[in-house]
Amino acid sequence: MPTPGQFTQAARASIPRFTKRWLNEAQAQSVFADKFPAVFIVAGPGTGKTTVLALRVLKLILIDGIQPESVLATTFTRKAAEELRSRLLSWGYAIVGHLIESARKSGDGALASRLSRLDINQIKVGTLDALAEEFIRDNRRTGAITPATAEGLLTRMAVRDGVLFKNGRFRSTSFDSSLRFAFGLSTSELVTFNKKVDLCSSFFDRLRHDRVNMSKLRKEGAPWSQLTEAFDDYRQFLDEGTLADFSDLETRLLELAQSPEPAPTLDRVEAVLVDEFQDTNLLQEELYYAICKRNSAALTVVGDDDQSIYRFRGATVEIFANFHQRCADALGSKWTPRRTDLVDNYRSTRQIVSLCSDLTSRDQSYSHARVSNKPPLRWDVENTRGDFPVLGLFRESAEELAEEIASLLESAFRGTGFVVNCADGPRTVIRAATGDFGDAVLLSHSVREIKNARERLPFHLRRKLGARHVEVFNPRGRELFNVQDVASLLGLALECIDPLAAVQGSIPTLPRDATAQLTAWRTAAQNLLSRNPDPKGLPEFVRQWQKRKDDPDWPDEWPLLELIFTLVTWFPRLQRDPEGQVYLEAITRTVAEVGQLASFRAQVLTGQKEDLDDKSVKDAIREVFESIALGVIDVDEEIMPYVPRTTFPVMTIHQAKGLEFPLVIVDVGSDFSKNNWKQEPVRAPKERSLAGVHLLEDKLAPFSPVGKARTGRPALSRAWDDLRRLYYVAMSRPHNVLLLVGLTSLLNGRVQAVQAGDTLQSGRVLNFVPAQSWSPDAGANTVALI
Amino acid sequence: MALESRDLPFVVPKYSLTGDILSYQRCGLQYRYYNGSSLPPSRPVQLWTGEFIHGILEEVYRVWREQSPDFPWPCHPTKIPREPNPPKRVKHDIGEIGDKVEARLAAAGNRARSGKARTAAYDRVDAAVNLSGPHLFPLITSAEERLSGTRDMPTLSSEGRPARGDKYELTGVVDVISSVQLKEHASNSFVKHILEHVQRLPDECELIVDYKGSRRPTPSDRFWNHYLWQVRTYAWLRSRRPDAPVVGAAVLIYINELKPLKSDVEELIDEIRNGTADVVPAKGSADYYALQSWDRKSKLPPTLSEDFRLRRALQIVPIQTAEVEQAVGKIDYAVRLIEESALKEFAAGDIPSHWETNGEARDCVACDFKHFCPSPADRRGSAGRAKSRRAPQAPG
Repeated sequence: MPTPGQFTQAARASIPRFTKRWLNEAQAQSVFADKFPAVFIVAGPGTGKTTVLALRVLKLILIDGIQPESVLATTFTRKAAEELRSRLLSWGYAIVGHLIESARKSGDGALASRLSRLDINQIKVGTLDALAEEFIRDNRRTGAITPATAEGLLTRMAVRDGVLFKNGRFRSTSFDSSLRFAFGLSTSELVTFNKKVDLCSSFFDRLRHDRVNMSKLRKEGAPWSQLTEAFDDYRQFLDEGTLADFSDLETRLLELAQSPEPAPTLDRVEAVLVDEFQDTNLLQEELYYAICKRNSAALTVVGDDDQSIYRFRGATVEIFANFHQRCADALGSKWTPRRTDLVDNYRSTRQIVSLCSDLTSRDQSYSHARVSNKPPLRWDVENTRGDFPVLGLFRESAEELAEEIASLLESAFRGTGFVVNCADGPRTVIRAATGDFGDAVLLSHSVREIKNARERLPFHLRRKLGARHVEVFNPRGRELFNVQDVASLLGLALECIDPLAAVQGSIPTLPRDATAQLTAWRTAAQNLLSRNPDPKGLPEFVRQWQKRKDDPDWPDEWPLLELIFTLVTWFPRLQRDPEGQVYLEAITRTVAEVGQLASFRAQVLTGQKEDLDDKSVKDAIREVFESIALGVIDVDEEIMPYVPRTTFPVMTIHQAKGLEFPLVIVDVGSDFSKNNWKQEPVRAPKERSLAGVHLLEDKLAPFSPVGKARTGRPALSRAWDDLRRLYYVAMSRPHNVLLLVGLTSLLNGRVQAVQAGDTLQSGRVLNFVPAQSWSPDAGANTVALI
Repeated sequence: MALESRDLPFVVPKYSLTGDILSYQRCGLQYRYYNGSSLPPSRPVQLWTGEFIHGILEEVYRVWREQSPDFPWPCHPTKIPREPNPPKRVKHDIGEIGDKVEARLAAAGNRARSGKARTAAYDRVDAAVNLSGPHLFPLITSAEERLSGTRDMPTLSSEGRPARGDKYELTGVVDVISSVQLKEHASNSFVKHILEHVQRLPDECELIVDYKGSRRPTPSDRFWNHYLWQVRTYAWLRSRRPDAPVVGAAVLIYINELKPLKSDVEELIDEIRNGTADVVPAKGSADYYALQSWDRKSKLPPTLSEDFRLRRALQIVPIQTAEVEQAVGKIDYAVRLIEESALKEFAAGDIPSHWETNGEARDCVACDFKHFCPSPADRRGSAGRAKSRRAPQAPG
């Protein structure tokens, strides 16, 4: 097989980006490490993690001789899987092609022939859930049915129908108390039906993620026994529907990996590589170790504890922090990991890198939560992005802030640039020659435009940019049910299938909020009907639907989905616009998912006996319209692969993970005008405001193998750690400019917030100075105010 | 500080030959909405039939490989509504296997449109298993083989914007037959049929098999070419596998031809009249007279011989290098068009302006976007755009 030198030479000669610059020492160490022991790569943001992971996969194939189909690489998101697979295919074929040519030139026909038999496409890359689905399908026994994957609304319906509607749990005060106990919620806190669904889902996931000992938990008696019984009902409901949720899929794969039965495609795995290992849960950790143990497979894990932001989905950062010991304990000394730290950042300016590094190292309390002896993130000298201050923009109100941001963006992307006057002279921020608003982003913990009837920064920004004829892409900004086009579309559909709300009015259990929403939609529909929009004919169309029972030619059943698609004719934005497509996908996905489980499968019946017509409409109202009206349907902006560059994006920090932008605006406190205790969980948690996942973790720890690894750090500290990590991720996204924005209350110390640099011990790690006094030799933690 | 420009992230896009390329070739805008935005079809009839047939054939083959029950296999589909005490069935009853496949599809929200559609699908798999199984199964060396390969991204005319990636990935699923099996089963009627159509097969080669849940197109139908390009590209993909022998031929099996419905026969008679069908009954044969004398008003299709149905169902495609190269060139072209449309949409937004609307009338019938399509087949002017917009009619 080729030597590391030949591999390097081939990569440098065949891949343009490596012609200029090859790997640094730590990267090369990670890529070329032997198959054993396990390789533990701690990779800060912008340090070339994907590059290293891709090249390590190729090294295992080309130098160590592992067949491509024997390599298993998992990522946290589908997007990350696509990115890694893209690198592997593009670079893999380039390197192999070059090596074959060199081998032929040097007369090594055997090597050329061996290399030409490699099929890079066979590498298994994907999220663990997708790969679990694939392994289960490919290794099933004849006659066995592989379950369909349940997610989103389907799992909610399973909780609702299989758990809450069973034995009247939804109105049981004792079941309520059990949920409150598990999540540490006070008795004064309102737990709506939808909140119960969320809490159950979260609890059921956590039981499996944490590998909770169910029999031990059951023996504890109430309230645990009541909750575990609910979980059993949930599992039974899924089984009866031939469904499996993500945790189920992973559990099934773990069982397969631990079973002595042959599993042909799983038995082929000789190398396991895990990306974003900091967001692994206990179940996944056990699964990776089980595959390695089964096949004596090599293991490489990559991640960064400072970027662990998925605790609410079961991520257990302690697995990462203690990987060295845990891996050795689980797999034995052959695997005892060798660690490499990637610290040279190639993504951002010197000031951004320094600020990020400072944020994590100066906070004494947080430093105890990190991987031991972690070196600071470094600005690489070969990084050509020049000096530019980290900017801060703080104003009295969110509206004022939005006006300033819109004006800066307009100057940068439509004008001659915006000028920052620093101590050593003015600096201008201006777009690239082909630049546009899509080169910038606003990141926030929440992108909701209106919350508790209060207009937030994203709302004002949409208006201010709209006034400048710039579109905003923020489909999560508004509740789906409040979007004008959605309201009118659903109102029209309701008017078609249920004129005068006759059927709707006969549903006594329709929640009041839902009824109000459905009425509002019908009003929106009436308004649209009165305008008779292009291409006209809408009133007639609706009338025909309303009179369908009198029409002998009307079909016996008609898909609600088809009615909705037809109504889209009168909604150009839903046909053409990126946000419109996201909304349309959410509505139609809901109808399609309802079609999987609901009694009438989202069909509208006409001319049937025994009130079936009305029952089908009732079913549609309860399953489709009520779900959307109560806000339980999540939009999925990833269905829009090509958001136009002329559009300004607004994202949550979680959405931005793995992305990078030339200009990043981070909202560090546009909501925090005063020291409101209700906001504490999202800026500066206190014991009194702790609730939810941190408390649940503590309560389940005695029943889980995770035990003290997690509870060694108190819940309050973990809550602060999570905020520190979240904003570390946000602030490490930009290439060129980082702009922190918020209200002035954060500057004068009236309000405490992790994102503005405050620490658990009441210190502050950021230093805000007027831009006029900023120069490139300012301290690493300095933010220049404009 | 000059900001950098943020282009589309580097991606080697993945295209399935059936799910993407054939869909795009049907209609660009329809592909954009269904595949790009993941909008679910309101009537996934074709989807259910296709997946049901593939699911049954895959499972039936596994059962045959492990237990080899004699043909014909019984087919007693579970009655709906279910009987309280259904009769016992043998394990390899197609109805028994069908229950499991139906359950899996139903769990994914995929159900037969109607009892009639379900019965038709069972009739077809019954015919597919019992007519083709005895000949085909002994020949198969690898079932449901997943193929994938990588090709250079075609050059795009994208007004300065770079392509998303330097390559693209193609995927597909086929069954594989080895030439060794052909020799061992020389008297097999499939083998005879194959050899009739391929003048010379290399000594060591493979044949690939692709099932189509449709009737046989005529050579003038655009799907005729699309299917040829598809199986030839499968041959190219197969040839990328290490140590894979050359692909000598492809076998397309049009399942509907094994058990034609009334509508299939009507179309066939029209095609025979127009002279467009490529497989027709010999004049004076029993099948000839059966078709000639059949009354369109009768409820049932005419009885056609097994041999004729098999001849209609099987299309043997010889695989030669030049044709394979031409076929993958056609796939490259489709990818180029998709990628160019994507880049235009990325630069300027507005979905319908950047995707071709080129479906035929039959593609538009079941299309959920026909009412707001800028250019549906029935109103397409010579310039390609619709002459006028009009409001949709309610279904009554």
